[in-house]
Amino acid sequence: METDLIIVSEYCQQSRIEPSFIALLETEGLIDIRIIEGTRYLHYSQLCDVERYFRMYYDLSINIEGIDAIRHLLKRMESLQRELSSLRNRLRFHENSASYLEYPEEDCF
Amino acid sequence: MAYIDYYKVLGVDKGASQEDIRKAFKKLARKHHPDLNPNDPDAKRRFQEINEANEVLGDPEKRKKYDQYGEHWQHADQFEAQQQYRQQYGGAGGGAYWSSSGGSFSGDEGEFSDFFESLFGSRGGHRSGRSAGFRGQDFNAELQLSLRDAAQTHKQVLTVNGKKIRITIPAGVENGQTIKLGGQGAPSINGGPAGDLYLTFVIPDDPVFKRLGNDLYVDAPLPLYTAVLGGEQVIDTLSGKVKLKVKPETQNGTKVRLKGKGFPVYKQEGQSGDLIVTWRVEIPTHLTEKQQELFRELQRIG
Repeated sequence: METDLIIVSEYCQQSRIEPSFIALLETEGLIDIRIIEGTRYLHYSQLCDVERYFRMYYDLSINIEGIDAIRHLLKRMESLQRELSSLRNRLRFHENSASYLEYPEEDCF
Repeated sequence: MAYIDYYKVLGVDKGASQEDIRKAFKKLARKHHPDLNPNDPDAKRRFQEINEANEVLGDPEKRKKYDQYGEHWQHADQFEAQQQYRQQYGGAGGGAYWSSSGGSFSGDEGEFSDFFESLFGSRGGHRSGRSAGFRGQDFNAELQLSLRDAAQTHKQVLTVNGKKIRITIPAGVENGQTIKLGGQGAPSINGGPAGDLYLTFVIPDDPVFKRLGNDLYVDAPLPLYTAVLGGEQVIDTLSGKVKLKVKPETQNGTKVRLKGKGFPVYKQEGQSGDLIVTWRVEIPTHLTEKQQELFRELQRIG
């Protein structure tokens, strides 16, 4: 069995997250639960998302549909930020390439 | 240490009801919460201010104390106040809890201002948690690399929050690129997995080579006589010197592309971009009488 899995009920107990919240995330397709021999597991890589959704749901009072929409927007934002960073690097390249010698005004005729 | 107007931070009147404060806080939190503003240090700082204001105004007891001593906090008998506070709030209980420990905060303790600490003492031990966060905290760090270092896969030892981490940086990383180092964040306090380390590379401009994606650009000097008559010229590349053939009558600003002599492609071993060389024809200086006469001769016959 993979070692990067945690039993959902144990995780809920240790992190004080209600199992119904995990079930809600699963129902709405925000996380994937693995079932092995009848036991429900979460992959470690999803814990960061679960805890982020938890904060949005309880601390910011955002419902699950809202969280799903935010999730998409954050992905889009991440992609745009990458694009922005790449464009900034290109701009820097062109700015650095466009260096001119100052030409004295009296020499223009 | 400056007085902080928590009412102003939350944008409410001094006479605002607890419900008004709660609503103002929620509205501002939804705007500035770090989960909704990833990689935005301004939003994080603003959220900490809002959170601190709510910690005080959202708790009727703390709010009363703040209203009583707030603007004249330096004249209050702080020691006695802290003592009273500790007796009153020691142990579990206290104001609203924002579970920042699992998020992108750099640390749960010490995020509140000195003003807060002077009035209410350290908040440690008197906040209750709805969720402690199972994972350890994530860390964010920046690493400055020269262009030449970024061009080769190499190992580096970083010290993040006092812990030494040995990492391998693949050739081809870009300025502003962030990589995730799983499990290199803070250890969990609940027996869960450690957080992750997000490392962002900062690559300043190189004085010789300019990078555009995987291509490199370099200006190379070309003696006038070689430019006119053709010949060979040695130029610098990232991987050493190479000798190039120069065609006769090469114009100043002519560009030549050297395939595969540019920057390594990230995580594609053996692949590199191109090197674009721009010839900068050098006009000879300090000419002798004889040289000047020969140029005049050229001018006459040209």
